[in-house]
Amino acid sequence: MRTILRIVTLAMVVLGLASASLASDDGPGFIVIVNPDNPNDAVDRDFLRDVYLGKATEWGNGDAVHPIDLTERFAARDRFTEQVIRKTAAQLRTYWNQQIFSGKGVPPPEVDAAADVIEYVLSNRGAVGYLPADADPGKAKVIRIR
Amino acid sequence: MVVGAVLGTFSTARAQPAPPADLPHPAAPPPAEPPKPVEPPPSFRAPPIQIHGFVSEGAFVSTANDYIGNSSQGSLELFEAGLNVSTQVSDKLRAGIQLFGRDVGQFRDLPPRIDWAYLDYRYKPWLGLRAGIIKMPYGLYNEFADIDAARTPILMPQSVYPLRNRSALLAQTGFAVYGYHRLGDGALDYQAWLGTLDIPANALVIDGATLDSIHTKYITGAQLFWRTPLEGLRAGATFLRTSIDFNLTLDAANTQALIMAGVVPADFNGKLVISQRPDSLVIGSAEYTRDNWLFAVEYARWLKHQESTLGSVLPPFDEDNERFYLMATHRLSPAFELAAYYSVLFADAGDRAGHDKAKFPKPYFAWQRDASATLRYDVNEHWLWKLEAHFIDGAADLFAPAGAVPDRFWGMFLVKTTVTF
Repeated sequence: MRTILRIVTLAMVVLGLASASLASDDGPGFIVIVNPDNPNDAVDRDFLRDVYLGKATEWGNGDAVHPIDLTERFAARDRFTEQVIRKTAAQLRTYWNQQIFSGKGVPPPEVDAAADVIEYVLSNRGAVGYLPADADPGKAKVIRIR
Repeated sequence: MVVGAVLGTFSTARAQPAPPADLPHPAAPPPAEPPKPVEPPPSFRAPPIQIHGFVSEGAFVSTANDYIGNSSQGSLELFEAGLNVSTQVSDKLRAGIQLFGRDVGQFRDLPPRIDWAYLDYRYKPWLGLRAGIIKMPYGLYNEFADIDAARTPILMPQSVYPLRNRSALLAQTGFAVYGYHRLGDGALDYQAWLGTLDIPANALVIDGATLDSIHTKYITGAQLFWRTPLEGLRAGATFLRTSIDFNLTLDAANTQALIMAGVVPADFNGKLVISQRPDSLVIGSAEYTRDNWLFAVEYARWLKHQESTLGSVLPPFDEDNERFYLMATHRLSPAFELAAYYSVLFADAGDRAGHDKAKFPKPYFAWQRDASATLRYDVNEHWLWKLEAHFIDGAADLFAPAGAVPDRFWGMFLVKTTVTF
């Protein structure tokens, strides 16, 4: 049994290093938008992650924060999930299954069009969303990620 | 051997790109996006009431010994189902209820019971209050241990998440405070709770007696997790303490035998109360996720002081279980995931080798070591299949009837499918 454990540990370390060495340095592929009345010009990445995981519920001024998500068919969703939430799509699904079936929360609402994200953000003062990098945010306010 | 072979396939894993150091990265070209729908529906408004559910069915068989149920003959009793309804009453207040039913070997919750049902008032991110029937925090996964889609193995490591204790660890009725606090590059997740347990009498099978009822005086506990500055690493601990009375009636043969032996009065009616005061559970946990990998390790001690109303027959004693496991999972592709774990239970942390013949007729009754491998296949977002194999040494967690001599080395194989919505 000890031999098996050693093999398992060695295999995981080697394969973990291999995965790390294959990392790329692509750009984010999305922009983050908020309501024009939102006073923030930038948002902390960890705060944004907490918002999309249901951990953070308020902006700094006490306003409730309402995230909106794109559906999984958008490449921007994959990039946002990997770079901001720091999970894979499968890990995020698992996370929300855990939350939903333990009663702790439900995921942000999803929309299937960038225009719906903009409409949601413009109609909700505390909203935050993201768009494909080449999308026109219209009257929504684009904010930086720190 | 099998664990090693399974891990050999990990080399085909698809590497995920690591996130860039700084965001955003304006130099990179945007990825191609799918065409927009012609008339996008206004589907973004979250429904006022959300309904979710799952249904699982499976089968299991063991090469020897009966584990969970009648496994040595093969069993189709691997059914679980849950249905929940929840609503966001306001920005700070949520309410919901989940019904959960199962027919898993000898563990049966049919008709379904209330799994959780509570009001959740989140005053601030760092302070919330839940009241009602609340899932029990214990280690990394106890709150989700019934949710097949939320884990990779079919059987979670049984040393730490044993099915035989599932009803006791499922949920508590009472209050819980919880919160989340950012801490530099990390964060703290914390909960504390006080309530009682509602354990159905069929939660335990006792040889030679009928379990009439189970009564808990209280259960209390606290959990703290630290999301460390090392991305993907979290670590924490959970402490639980409870006091439980088991009200039993000995069967006629045992009652008569005790009367004949003169250890109880002639009018003894067979009623007996076994008290566990207290049961204390403590567990340390760590989990590390990186790309498509997940590693978890947990170490627990279960300390029990037991006494009974028949002290001459069942004298008081103290028990100290040692329980731990190491687990790794790896997502090979969007559809396939592998998991492997090594789980160990020592019935007596002070006698891991089973030297005490009075407690352990065979030394291997003192331990149970379980090496497991699982393949999970996600047909789509809502439907999955799992195959799982266990190679087990020892019999410390078996439901062997009195006098039976279980095999030391045995295997168990399971298959399960789950639909969630």
